[in-house]
Amino acid sequence: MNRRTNRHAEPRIDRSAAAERYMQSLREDHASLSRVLREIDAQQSLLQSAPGAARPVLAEALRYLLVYQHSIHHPREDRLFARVRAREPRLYRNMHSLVREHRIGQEVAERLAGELSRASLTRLRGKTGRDLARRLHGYVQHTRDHMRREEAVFYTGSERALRASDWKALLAGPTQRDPAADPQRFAARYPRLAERLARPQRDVVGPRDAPASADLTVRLEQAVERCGALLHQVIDFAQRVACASIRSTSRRP
Amino acid sequence: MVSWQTTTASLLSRLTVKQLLQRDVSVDRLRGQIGAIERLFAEHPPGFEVAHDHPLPHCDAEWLRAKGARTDRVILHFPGGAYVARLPKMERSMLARLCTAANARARLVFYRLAPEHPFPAGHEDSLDAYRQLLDLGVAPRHIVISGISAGGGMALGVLLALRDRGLPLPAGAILMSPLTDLTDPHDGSRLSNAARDPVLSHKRGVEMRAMYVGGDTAKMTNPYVSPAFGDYAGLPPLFFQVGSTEILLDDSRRCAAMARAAGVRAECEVWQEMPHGWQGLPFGSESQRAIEHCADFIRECCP
Repeated sequence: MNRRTNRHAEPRIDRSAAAERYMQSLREDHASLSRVLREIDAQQSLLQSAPGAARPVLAEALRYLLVYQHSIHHPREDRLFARVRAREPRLYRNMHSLVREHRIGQEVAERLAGELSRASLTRLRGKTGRDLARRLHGYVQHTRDHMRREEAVFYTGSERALRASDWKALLAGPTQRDPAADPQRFAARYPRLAERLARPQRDVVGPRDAPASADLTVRLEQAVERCGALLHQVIDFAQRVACASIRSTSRRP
Repeated sequence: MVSWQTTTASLLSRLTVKQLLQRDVSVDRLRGQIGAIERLFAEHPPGFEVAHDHPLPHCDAEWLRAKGARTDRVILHFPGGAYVARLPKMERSMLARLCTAANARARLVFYRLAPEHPFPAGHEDSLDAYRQLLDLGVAPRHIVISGISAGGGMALGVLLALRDRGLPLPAGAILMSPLTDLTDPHDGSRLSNAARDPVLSHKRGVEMRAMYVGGDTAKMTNPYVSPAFGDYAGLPPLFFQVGSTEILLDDSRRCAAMARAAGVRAECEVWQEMPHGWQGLPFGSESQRAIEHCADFIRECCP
């Protein structure tokens, strides 16, 4: 098959080794971030029902985001933005909202971490917990959307716009590794988060019902199912009667 | 707390789909009645283009991608439907949401169905689809395989076959409530969740599973048919999602445990009170959340 004329083959973009290395490091940051966002989303659904267990994991997850993603990953992207601005100001105009979102995202994460640590467990079980869970979910959603737009618009645009000298200069800048890349270091700094991430099975969307309530639910479901079966038997019977009646009518002279 | 939309969908499914799967109806009638659910979905997801270029030799397949999108990631998706029926509009709608969330494009493979085309027809079609992606120049590290229900079992079977044939493996696999054991062990969640599952039923299970293997029940322990009998060594990261009330709950747990024992990174998310295939519901916050979790996984294994 001719790969040149194939529009479903991988998009052709200028990828020098330096560009590839720099962009891959940004994409790997997104990979680590996605893993932590998934955990935040799972934990926020448990915040009201099990605040004692969920809060420490959420606190470490937010700390990870603030320390690594907001202090190292975003400045790395901002340096890329600055290069794009110099090379292609028109492209940059579509991107500058992303730069602003870096700052806003950091402020939101700091605020959430602060409120989470200050709230008592009793308050986390009530309205405060519900409100925090909703805002944590909103933060996760916003961050995912931000990454999506970066990958779709900013990363592909940068790969097209920048030259080899830009990539070399970017690579010469400060390089700090994601602590998530080193499992031991990560577990030492974020023990509860690391333990959660390593769990083979994770429950999502709240805890199980209390036994009494679960028993009632099962009874109700069985009743609904019996009604369903009965309903279908009635429909079948009605269909048979209708068919028989039509047949007998058509046989009449 | 489960959303009212998902609760309503479970209730309606208990009154309709589960009843249908329990009744003695022909495959044609089953397909027709399951197809009626498709009225809930648009023919094409808004904002997406569906292209039919690059046909496969024995089955239909289509490309699905957001208009104007530019991305390397490809999701190779196998639809569900117990290997005998399917819901193409629902699969398209779900895949479109996944593509948007993961910044990816998708290849949807309508492998041949039983009883007209028993195993290995559908399995070979699915392998053809993966090989075609490689021939088209898509790098394996940019491919994530996914499947829902029977399609999840198909995806796992394909992974095992790719590994056995020495082909380059994809970056990962998403398995939504996969059917991984056609021998139907009558224990564990298959028994304990029989009453709770609002969608699936055992009653005609034996008959429908026999259709997939053309009546040759000895094939049911073939790992490409029942991946629960496979050896998972060397597979890429696996991501299982399953509802806590499904009769297929243990299919996911068991395969995830086997994969981890073989040194494979395998995660299993158990979503409390979710019905089989809830990811495909076009409403309900849990469906979109589950899709976002799958997209996170795609970003993780396919950076």
